[in-house]
Amino acid sequence: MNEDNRSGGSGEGRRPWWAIGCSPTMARGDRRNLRRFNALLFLWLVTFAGTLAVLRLQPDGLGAWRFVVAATPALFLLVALLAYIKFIREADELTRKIQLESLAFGFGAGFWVMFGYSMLVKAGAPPLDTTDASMAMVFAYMVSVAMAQKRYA
Amino acid sequence: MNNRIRVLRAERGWTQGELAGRLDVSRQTINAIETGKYDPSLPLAFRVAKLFGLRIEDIFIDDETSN
Repeated sequence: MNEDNRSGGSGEGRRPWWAIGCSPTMARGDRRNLRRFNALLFLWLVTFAGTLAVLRLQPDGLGAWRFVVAATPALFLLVALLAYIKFIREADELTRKIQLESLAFGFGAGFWVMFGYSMLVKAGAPPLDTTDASMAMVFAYMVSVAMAQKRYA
Repeated sequence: MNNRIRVLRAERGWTQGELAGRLDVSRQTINAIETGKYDPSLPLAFRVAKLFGLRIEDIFIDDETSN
């Protein structure tokens, strides 16, 4: 771990939106890595929304380019995921524990929603979009991180 | 697991942030260890012992042993 990743020291005061999930007591390097991930995730969201809009407005006008346009958000998401892996690998040991526990909780919650609801679909409920299960994963992950940050604060 | 880190840190007049900096961890980690909410990894326990010039068992006390 390098010098830059040492203790956070004083608080940050008013935190910008891209510092979501960053605690003032986290290591400086961890906060920097998490901010980078948040910014890349936001970029992916913007690209995702933009791509959806373009594909809806120009369903046939793009020709074969529509596949390139459709694949663009995946590229941004890949960069964001690489940033998250960097964050986990360089994280302080408590931060890593919090993140891994939250990922496990999020994965479990998504799995539970997906397979639990699949039984309801067999009983006649409307089918579940995979995006909904993903949202359940992300929501459970975020709740778990927030609870852990509070527990270890 | 109980530990004497808060006492040892206070004896040296260090803040949690200063100790965290010396151990290359976050202040959150030091606080969680001091309050008994988190048990450090073995490498970190060794670093703590080395920093204070003590043995690991002089700093970290197993709950069953202390009872």
